[in-house]
Amino acid sequence: MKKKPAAATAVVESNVTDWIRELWEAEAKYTATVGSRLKFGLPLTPAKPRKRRKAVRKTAKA
Amino acid sequence: MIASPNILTPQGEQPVRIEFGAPRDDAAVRAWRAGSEHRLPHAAADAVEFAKLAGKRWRYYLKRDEAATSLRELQDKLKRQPQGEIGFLLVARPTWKPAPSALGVAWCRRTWCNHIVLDFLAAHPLTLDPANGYKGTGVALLRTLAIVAQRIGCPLVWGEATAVSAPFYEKVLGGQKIQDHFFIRQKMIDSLQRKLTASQP
Repeated sequence: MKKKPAAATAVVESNVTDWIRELWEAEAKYTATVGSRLKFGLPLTPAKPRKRRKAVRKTAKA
Repeated sequence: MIASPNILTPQGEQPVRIEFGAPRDDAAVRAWRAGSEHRLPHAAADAVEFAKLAGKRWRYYLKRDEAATSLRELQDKLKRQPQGEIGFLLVARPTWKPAPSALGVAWCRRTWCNHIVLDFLAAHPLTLDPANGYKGTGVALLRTLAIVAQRIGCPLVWGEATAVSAPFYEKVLGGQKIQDHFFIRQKMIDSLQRKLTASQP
């Protein structure tokens, strides 16, 4: 019989250790957020110049 | 599903399902909002912004066919392109209702030398508010990322901590001083994923 490849096997929590609970507390206090704004805040493609709007002539209504 | 670690919820300890993101997950993270009465407004704002930026990267990599939507796909792509840069999104999904469809996300890139860059990790603003009783979403994502790293033979995960989260990564890494970057090396990758045992198909 063929063995299932490791990639198809998911793992579940058996019991939460004290160390993991300590990490939970640290996360609750400081968050686990990762990231930065600048390098990804930029558009992915260079902006295209906008088409100029045609000037709308204002006509004074009588 | 890659793993199902427990987190603390208002109903006690509950397992979350950590999966590779699907294209539709971009919409789920774009719906994140930080309420006006959030007790940690800056942390919530960071989470909302980083989740959106992660979604943007996710779309970009998907469009270029440089993203993986399962562990198998990641492994297959790496086999075909050993030095290819492949991105993937890990999503923490609740196993109870009512709850947001994505409790947390981690946007990662496997680099040409088989390291993993954790570009973004964000937990849903709901789980960041101490009033709501959630703990451990980020830890669950980090532990699952350690499993992915182990499965692809990656010896190093690195990322950029924020001014707020740096002390958390100091704790993860056994007290070493962390500023704006952290390196999770093989020994710690092993420790983070070791506790998740008992296989399930």
